[in-house]
Amino acid sequence: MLTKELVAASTEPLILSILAQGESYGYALIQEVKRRSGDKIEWTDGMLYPVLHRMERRGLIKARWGESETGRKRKYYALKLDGKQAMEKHHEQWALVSAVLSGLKKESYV
Amino acid sequence: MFDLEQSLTEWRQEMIRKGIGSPVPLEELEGHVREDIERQIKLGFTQEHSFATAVRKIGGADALRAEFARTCVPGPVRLVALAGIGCAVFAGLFLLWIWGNLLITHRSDGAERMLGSTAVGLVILSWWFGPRFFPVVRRPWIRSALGTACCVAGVGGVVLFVKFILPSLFNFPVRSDPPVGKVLVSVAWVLSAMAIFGGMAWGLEKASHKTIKQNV
Repeated sequence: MLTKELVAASTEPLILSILAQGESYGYALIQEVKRRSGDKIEWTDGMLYPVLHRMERRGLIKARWGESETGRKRKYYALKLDGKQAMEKHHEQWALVSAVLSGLKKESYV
Repeated sequence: MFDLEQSLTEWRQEMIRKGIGSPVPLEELEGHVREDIERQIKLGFTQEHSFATAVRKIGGADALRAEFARTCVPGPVRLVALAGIGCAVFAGLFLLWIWGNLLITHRSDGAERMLGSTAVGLVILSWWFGPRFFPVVRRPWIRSALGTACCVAGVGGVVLFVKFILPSLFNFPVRSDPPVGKVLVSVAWVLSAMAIFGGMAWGLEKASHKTIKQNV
């Protein structure tokens, strides 16, 4: 399991990265993250929505109301241009942290 | 016997009581809960178990409210709604004072008193019934822009009146009586416009919260 702090820090880049593959909605985002992390990243369901709303207000993503397969109202989110740029920045930063950690780990085994 | 719809209604009411007041988050949260319930029922769990699990997973109203409070109503929207209330209250109180003067002064006739009373009545009707007919504007920046336009229209109307129309009302022959009743009626109508526009700025914000109560 990831620490609370790391889960919080990774929420935005994960949302942006999933939305980069196509529009999605809250429930599906949670399931996708769970699936990809092998259940190791688990978001508190309700806490995702304030994050999505904040990202929408910041102009990173846009939302539209649509319908689910069963005809129920569902809010879909999609990436905006600013969101794409923010995602690329996140990727660079996380790649840098990952590279530094990998380097340090290798050195410690030498 | 467990009633899923009844339980969901009670959950919604609980959320509203605890302050998850804006329709957009609540609709979205309910959609999520229903989705989770459906998924668990497909996995073979009972409705009651699925409901309890979905509600526990979505989190408590207090924590949700605290998170949404940081995103729900942006500062500019709140500011515009407050400006609207300010305009409405200022114009409303001034209008009442003018109306009182219009009723007691011996320099106004019946028609002028009637016109003044109509202005007051219009303001009350617009405040009372207006929000029921306003559309639900979900995008905060559109609400903010519309509210600002209402405030500007209200204040601008008064400024234009004071600058261009009011001086002409005092332009009367030297030996005749000043048209006090006419002036009071004119001021009352300009103030009523300001009060109505101010009420509209506030009403737009209020209307954006109304669908929740209707849905419960």
